[in-house]
Amino acid sequence: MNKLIDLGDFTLKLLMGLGNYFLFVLELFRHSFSLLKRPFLGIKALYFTGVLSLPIILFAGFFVGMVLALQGYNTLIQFGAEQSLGIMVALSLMRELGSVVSALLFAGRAGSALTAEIALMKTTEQLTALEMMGIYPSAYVGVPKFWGAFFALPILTALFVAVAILGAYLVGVVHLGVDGAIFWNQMQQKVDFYDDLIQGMVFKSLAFGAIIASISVFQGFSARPTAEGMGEATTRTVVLSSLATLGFDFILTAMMFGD
Amino acid sequence: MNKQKIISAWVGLLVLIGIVALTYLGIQASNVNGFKPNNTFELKAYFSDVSGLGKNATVTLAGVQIGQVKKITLDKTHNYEALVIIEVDADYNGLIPNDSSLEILTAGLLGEKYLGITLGGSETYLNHQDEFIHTGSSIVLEKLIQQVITQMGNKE
Repeated sequence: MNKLIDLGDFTLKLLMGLGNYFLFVLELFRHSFSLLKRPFLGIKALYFTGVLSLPIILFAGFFVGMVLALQGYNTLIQFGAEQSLGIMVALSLMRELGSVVSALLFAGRAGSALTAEIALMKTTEQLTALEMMGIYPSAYVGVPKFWGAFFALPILTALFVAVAILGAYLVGVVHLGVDGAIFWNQMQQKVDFYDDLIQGMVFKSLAFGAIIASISVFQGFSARPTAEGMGEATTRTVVLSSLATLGFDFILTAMMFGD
Repeated sequence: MNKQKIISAWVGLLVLIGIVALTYLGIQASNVNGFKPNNTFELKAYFSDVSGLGKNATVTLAGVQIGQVKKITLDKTHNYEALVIIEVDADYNGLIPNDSSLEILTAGLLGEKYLGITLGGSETYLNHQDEFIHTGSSIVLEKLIQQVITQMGNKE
């Protein structure tokens, strides 16, 4: 009997969490126009989530590209197909790796910081103070941070993929000696602008941006107002964002490429 | 310069290099003007062997892509031959002579299979849902080797 009650409790809590999350996202959208009155708050959020994430994204992209080229070359050369290295690297980066890896890094680097910042504001009762002054905390704090993070991820993903392809070029062409003209030529022939670049990379990163940004802001606002609660909320942001990213990635891939 | 302007400048730079990266990927690493099957008409052809030919394989005329394979099925009512339906750019509707032949070709020695149209000289032309009379099937390397070996055996 007790087990049954626990199960029911757990399910209800899960559903309530989900419901709160969706209500919160709706509230964010409802207050989104307030961003037009205070555009600098959005720019500042874009600075903290986007510009400050640049080093880790560029560094990771460069190395992911180099490793892909090295591993791809070693496998492809067994079939005498090392000329296809360019296609392999470009397609795997644009369709999957680019958007997913940058989303995971972004969740760890920017999402957690967003949650921690908002949760601290809540713990130190700054949010309550805003409310006292007649300002919606979700409009003043949540909306700019959400949109800043939402727009930061696609930009970072494009940079990640571009840098990774350069890294692959360095290893594949300069170091391993694949013909440079074939490397680019095959890529240009086989990578489709709309199917692979726009759908695979841009649409996916927009979806992941929305997921990570909304989860981070929501976790910040719903954190328990204690030091412990802040830690919990930050951890949950990273875990939930990563899992949601991977789950949605499968759904999106199945919709886009699973004929 | 105050802090607000510095932050704005950094964000401007971020957006700018983001756009540069996307343009770079678009121009250097992808195919913007690829074949898009939006305005097309369909043609049919029967082959005795389509091994290696897949959906979306390219259809070329004089080496230029003008269409792609839409569907490959086995037609039980037609002597168990493979029915290949291709979609060709509508610009060529009614311009391909009906005695043209459609052949399965291979890019490179072991590369992927594609379809090549060799134009005929007829005065009547193929329209939507028409059928190629002359077709050339896949060359399967194993069969070719088998033939060579049997011929060598016959000589001795």
